Amino acid sequence: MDTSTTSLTLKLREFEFGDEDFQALRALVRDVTGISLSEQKRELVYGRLARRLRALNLRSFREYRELLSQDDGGELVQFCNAITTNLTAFFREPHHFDHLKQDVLGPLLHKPAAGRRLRIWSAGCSTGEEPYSIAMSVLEAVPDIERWDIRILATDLDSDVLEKARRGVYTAERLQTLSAERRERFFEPYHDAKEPSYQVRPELTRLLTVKQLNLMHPFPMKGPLDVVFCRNVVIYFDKDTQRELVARVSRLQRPGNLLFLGHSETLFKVSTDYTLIGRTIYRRS
Amino acid sequence: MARILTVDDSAAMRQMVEVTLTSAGYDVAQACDGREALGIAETNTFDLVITDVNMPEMDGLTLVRELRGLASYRHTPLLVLTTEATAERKLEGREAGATGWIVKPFNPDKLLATVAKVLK
Repeated sequence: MDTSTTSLTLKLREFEFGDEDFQALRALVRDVTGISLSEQKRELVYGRLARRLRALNLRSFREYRELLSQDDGGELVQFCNAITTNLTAFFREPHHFDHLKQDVLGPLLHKPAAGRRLRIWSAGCSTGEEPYSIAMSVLEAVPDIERWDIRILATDLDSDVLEKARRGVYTAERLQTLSAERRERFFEPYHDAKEPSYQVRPELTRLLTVKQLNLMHPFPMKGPLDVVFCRNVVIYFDKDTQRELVARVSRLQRPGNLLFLGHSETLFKVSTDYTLIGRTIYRRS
Repeated sequence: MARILTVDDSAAMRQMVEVTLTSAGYDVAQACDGREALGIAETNTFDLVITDVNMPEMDGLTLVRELRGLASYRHTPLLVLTTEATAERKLEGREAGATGWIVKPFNPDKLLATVAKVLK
């Protein structure tokens, strides 16, 4: 970027946000969460934190950095939440859910009762759209759910989004991308909200276990994990961290198990434990 | 060593290209269609992209056009590897911004020679 555009951008901004601000905050994000933000995440950092600056009545990112350096932890949590919250949607990248139904759940239906165990992990579940989409796919594909042992583990670093995931309350607007059939079957009107809202039905919630988990920390769960949704998660880590994370996921999977990545992610230079079998769909070798 | 992205909706073809290229010491990444390839290319750097033409979601020539629109791929060699061999399609490929055109089934030695040439 040349200097004329930089100064122009600075002038148009509500808060002063210089390169040293970005570099310092980026280093802080890395220290606290292990997430490595690329140079391209400048706008994301500004956009996510501008809300905090407004809430705190600050005028510049320099002031915000000073506040963080004297902080006893409260604002640091807000800071991490603001940076790591992912925008998400129901059935985002629908081909993954189609694959789950057709190639994982479908074949399982023909197995004897003893083989009806399935463990799915939504790593980076955010506000719950992904694990609930998985749960909807499961219920659509499996007619007699009570005779199965299916669990969906939903984890995220951010405690605020996990609370939303647990409640499963979404505005009608968020549900617009869902078919009327799905909305009828899996959601019920929720009246205790300002905007028209819906809550997921208990049959979906029953399949989920929602837990806070930092992917940099040891995993508490035991495998094997038949399917892992790890979408738009590794993109925030540097290659070494990605390698270590995928190696640990791989140890929780058995040959034939699946790993789904986000649309711009790849295991290239990250892991040789998996074979690409469809768009961002990897099978454990 | 050079990093190469190979794009094909056939797993067997991706595997053959990867084996050929890794045997010569290249680092090879795979993508199943143009859309996946574009996503990966935007967040990773490659010295060369080799793409099939007929693929679901996003075909190879659209991928070439999209890549040429990205600053980081304006000068990157982009090879097309396809069963199509008509002069019109080749011209279309050239206009889209492809560096070269290889017809399937490919001869491994010839593929390696072309790769070495465009990477120079």
